[in-house]
Parts: sequence; C-alpha cells; structure tokens
Amino acid sequence: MNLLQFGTAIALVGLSIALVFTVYRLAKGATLGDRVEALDMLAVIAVLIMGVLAVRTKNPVLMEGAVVIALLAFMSTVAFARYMERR
Amino acid sequence: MMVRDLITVVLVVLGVGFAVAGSIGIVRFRDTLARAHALSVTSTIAVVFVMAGVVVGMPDLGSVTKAILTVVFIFLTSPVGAHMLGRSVYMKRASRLELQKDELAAHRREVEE
Repeated sequence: MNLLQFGTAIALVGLSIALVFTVYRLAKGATLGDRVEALDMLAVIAVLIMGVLAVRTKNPVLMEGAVVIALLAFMSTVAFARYMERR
Repeated sequence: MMVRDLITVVLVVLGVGFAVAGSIGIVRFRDTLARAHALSVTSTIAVVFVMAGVVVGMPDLGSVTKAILTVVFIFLTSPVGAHMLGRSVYMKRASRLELQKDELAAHRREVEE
C-alpha cells in the first residue's frame, strides 16, 4: 500500500464520519430549515467523495460527477428556500 | 512522484478535516442560522482544499478544468444558497433563534402585517 492509497483511505474514513453526522441531523431535523441544510451538506460531501475517489483511482471521469452534483445542490437549496418563504 | 503524492494527500486530508468540522457544527450548534454558518463556511473551504489536491494529483487538462469549475460554482452558489435559506428561516420564524441583537425586527414586523 503506497502513500496515496493510505492517505485517500484516511480521507474516505473521515468523509464517512461526516456523512453519519449529517444524516443524523437530516433524520432528527427539528425544523425544515435544518433538514435543507443537511441536504446541502450531503451534496458537498458527495462532491468531496468524487474528488477523493478520482485522485485515488486516477479516473478523470469522476470529476464530471463532482461538477454536476455541485450545480444540482444549488438548484435544490434555492427551490427549498423559495418554498419555505411562500408557505 | 513521492513528493507529489505527499502534497496531494496533505491537501485532501486537510479538506476532509474541514468537512468533518462542518458536520460536527451541524450537529452541535443550537439554532438554524448558526448551523447555516457552520455549513457554508467550512464546506467552501473543504471543496477548495480537496480540488487543490485533485489539481496536484492529476495534472491533465480535463481534470484541472473540472476542478476549477467546481470551485468556481461552489464559490458562487454556496453564499447565495445560505443567504436565501437564512432569509426564509428568519422571515418565517421557522426556528428558535438565539439572537444577541435583532436589527431587522422592525422590518420583519412591517412585512408580517
């Protein structure tokens, strides 16, 4: 196991921990705004996982997924914010 | 090759550390606006560091372009999304807010009437 494999494995473990915390907030919520924030954070963590896996596997195709998820996350956040304000 | 791998790993792990700190903030902070603060600040920095790691680790044209594109998108959209969400939470009183000072209270009352 070389340095790159080891380091990206640590990074993926850290992202899994962040994912668990965020899903806890998404499930517990308390308000709709908290849940929307948790969804936004989930999208950011998905972008980070794409980047880390692209470095680990040297596969440049994964970067396109990162760009698309970054765009879709903004769309969903704005749609939820508009919905909350009109309700 | 060893030095490039080392720089890549340091950048990626630093970015992931910011993401973990942000998610801890999302769990631990008390009201929705404080959580929005933890989310938008740390997630922007985390994406910047991880994409810098991608640029160092995979220096071909396509990957570098997409990494820069992702960083630009996050920089443009993360503050706008956090602001819209915070405004809707504040104006609709959708959360218990622990504000030291509420300078927009008069405006909010005006809108609500």
